Amino acid sequence: MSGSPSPPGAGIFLTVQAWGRDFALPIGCARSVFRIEALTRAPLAPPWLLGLANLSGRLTAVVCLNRRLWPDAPPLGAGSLAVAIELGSDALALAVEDVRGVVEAQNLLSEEQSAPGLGALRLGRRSATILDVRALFDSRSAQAA
Amino acid sequence: MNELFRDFLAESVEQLEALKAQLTEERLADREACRDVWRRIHAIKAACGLLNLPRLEALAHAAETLAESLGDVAGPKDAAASLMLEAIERMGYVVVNLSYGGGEGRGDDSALIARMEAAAAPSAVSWQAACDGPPLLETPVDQASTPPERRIDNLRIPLKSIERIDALVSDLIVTQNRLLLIAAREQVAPLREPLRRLAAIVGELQSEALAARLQPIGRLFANQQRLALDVAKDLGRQIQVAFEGGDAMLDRQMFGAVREALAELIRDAIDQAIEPPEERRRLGKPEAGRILVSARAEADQAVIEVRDDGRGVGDPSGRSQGGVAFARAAIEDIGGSVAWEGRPGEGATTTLIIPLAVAAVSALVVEAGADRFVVPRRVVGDLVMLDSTGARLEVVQGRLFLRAKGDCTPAARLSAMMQSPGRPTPEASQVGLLMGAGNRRFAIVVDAVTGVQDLMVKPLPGPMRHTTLFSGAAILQDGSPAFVLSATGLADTLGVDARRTRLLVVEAVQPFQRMLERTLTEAGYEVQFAATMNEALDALIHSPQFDGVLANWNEAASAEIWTRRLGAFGKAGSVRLPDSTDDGSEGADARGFACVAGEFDRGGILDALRAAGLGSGWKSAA
Repeated sequence: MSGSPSPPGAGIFLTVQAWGRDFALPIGCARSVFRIEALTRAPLAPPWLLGLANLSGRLTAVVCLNRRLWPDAPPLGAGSLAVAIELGSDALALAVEDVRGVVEAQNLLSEEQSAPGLGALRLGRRSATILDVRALFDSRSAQAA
Repeated sequence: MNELFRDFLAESVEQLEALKAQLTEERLADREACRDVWRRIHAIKAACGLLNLPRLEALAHAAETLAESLGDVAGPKDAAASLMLEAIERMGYVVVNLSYGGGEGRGDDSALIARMEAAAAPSAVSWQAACDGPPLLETPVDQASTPPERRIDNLRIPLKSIERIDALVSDLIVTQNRLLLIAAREQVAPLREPLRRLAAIVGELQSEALAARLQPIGRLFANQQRLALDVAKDLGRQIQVAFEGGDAMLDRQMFGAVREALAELIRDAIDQAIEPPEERRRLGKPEAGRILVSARAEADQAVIEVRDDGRGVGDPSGRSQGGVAFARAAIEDIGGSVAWEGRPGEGATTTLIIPLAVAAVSALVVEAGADRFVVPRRVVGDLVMLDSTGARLEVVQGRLFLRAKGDCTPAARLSAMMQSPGRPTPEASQVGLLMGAGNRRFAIVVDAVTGVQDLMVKPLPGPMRHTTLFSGAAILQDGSPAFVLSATGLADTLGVDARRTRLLVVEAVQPFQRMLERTLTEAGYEVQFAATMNEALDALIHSPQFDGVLANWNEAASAEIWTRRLGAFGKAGSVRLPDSTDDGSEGADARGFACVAGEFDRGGILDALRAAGLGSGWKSAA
């Protein structure tokens, strides 16, 4: 076992867009990308928790990345793209405006430590904030700014 | 190899695998991750002492301390996570060695433990340096000597595989239902027979998949008994442990957490609550402390109680790290809850409430506004149409009640409760569902009941566990997900108390007593009789537990006097006397006091009670 870990966030990322901005998810947590066909509303849930989707027979909780990051952002829903994510035994999905692609990041811009991101990576002339996936799906964590 | 040991090994393999995945993915990113790692390692360590596994225990202890110390450090802790992974792998070697019957194996872990201790020490100048530390010198286990062909003799299917099978079965059911719809619409006769056969196969597959998940809680008890006796022996206590209700079925997914919680609670009871034999003798208690673990299935949850006859004191949250607080963390993780109640000198009861989670249920599909929900049939006592059977909604003292079939039940409109979008349905076409949670009765009013379906209920994904109103979710036959209403959660939200309204009824004539008793008991009241008002007063002096008094008109003729006397007990304020004595069912309007007159009139009596603020036998907390 190596005792010298890689720097936080280095590796391969899936980049997505929310409200016109770029974000990156560690590729290891993304299982697939799909289009949301139908959603069951989650009563009494925070506005960013869109509801439940049936993803190949699995009950999947769908979170709207727009609303999770900015309470005033336009909500996503049925018809939007989503990234299926598995955290522990939970089947989850993140609704996004667009899926940009997969990038391998070496040079991280680690100064941008703003919640819920863990840092940022350079995408050509733009930068993408790395998302803390666990915090995004934690309904107890404070609303991200 | 005994069953306890086998279970421990299988459980440890699962825990270590989960830890490896978790550490690789999350690198101890936050407090929650550290706590989870701590909890899993702690579970392994707890069993090591009992099974006499010092090597594994020492490793687990160091790893647990490291996880605990990192809780307050922000951000991913890669070096510490790598060190922890090293420890997990070493523990894995020991467990594998044990499963081959080779004891804990040869090897020296002192360097690894020292590095973990250094990393965990608050004074460590740099835990990064400590984690990187000197290279590993010791040899863990001689792997070449391990016979590769041997297998652990109890085969366990990983939960992940079972979940995958469940998902495939759900998908299969949805596809089958689509086929059925198409065949019916297009009237494809040749498909009828193969589809019928398909339905039978799918049904059987669903039952088998479910059977693989469910196990009787009693299976946990056998191990706990042994653990308890071992702990008692170590601590010099005498105990008797009894278990009851082991037939209740529980999802295998819940077993790990429940086993951990029970083991800690029993250990805590023996260690902290049960007094040493000499102290018990002095207190007049039997020398052997008693622990009763009982399980029962309620509407949509399993309830396990751990009762002891020890000291009955202590702060439930801080009693010990490994006790009630530990159980609470483990049970809350699976969507349950834990309550502790102590009676000083007499003992304490810790109650674990565990959602039944995955289960095949026959359920009603109901509509509330534009939402659809699932209600398990077993929690629904009766259905009443609000238009046809004389059933109606009434507001009594600001609270909604459903009055149907002579009963008056606390009620709520589901669409209002769930803030459902969509146009409200006229009351005349709504449906009332009379429901029960344990011995609590209540009603919910829905816009429509659209059908009965056999469904697989599954636990809610993490972020959905924001409300206790749902016990899970299911995929309906048309493929859409729907939330499953929790009878317990609804009863809690409605504020329905399990206690019934207690009435003292003044009636001397036995045939009337019998009629009154039947009427009132059916409506949910608890009834005690007094022959005269004097006797009633006497009963009130000796037992102030009554919520109200029901008196026959003749007895209450001198009501003003009685009002004053009863007022002293907080049972009645001012009683307005009826204007005439021949009006069959006049009632007083003061809270807690109702008087009726004339012939026996069931509706009149219940009306009078409602007018006096004793509207329903099923007491509401609000």
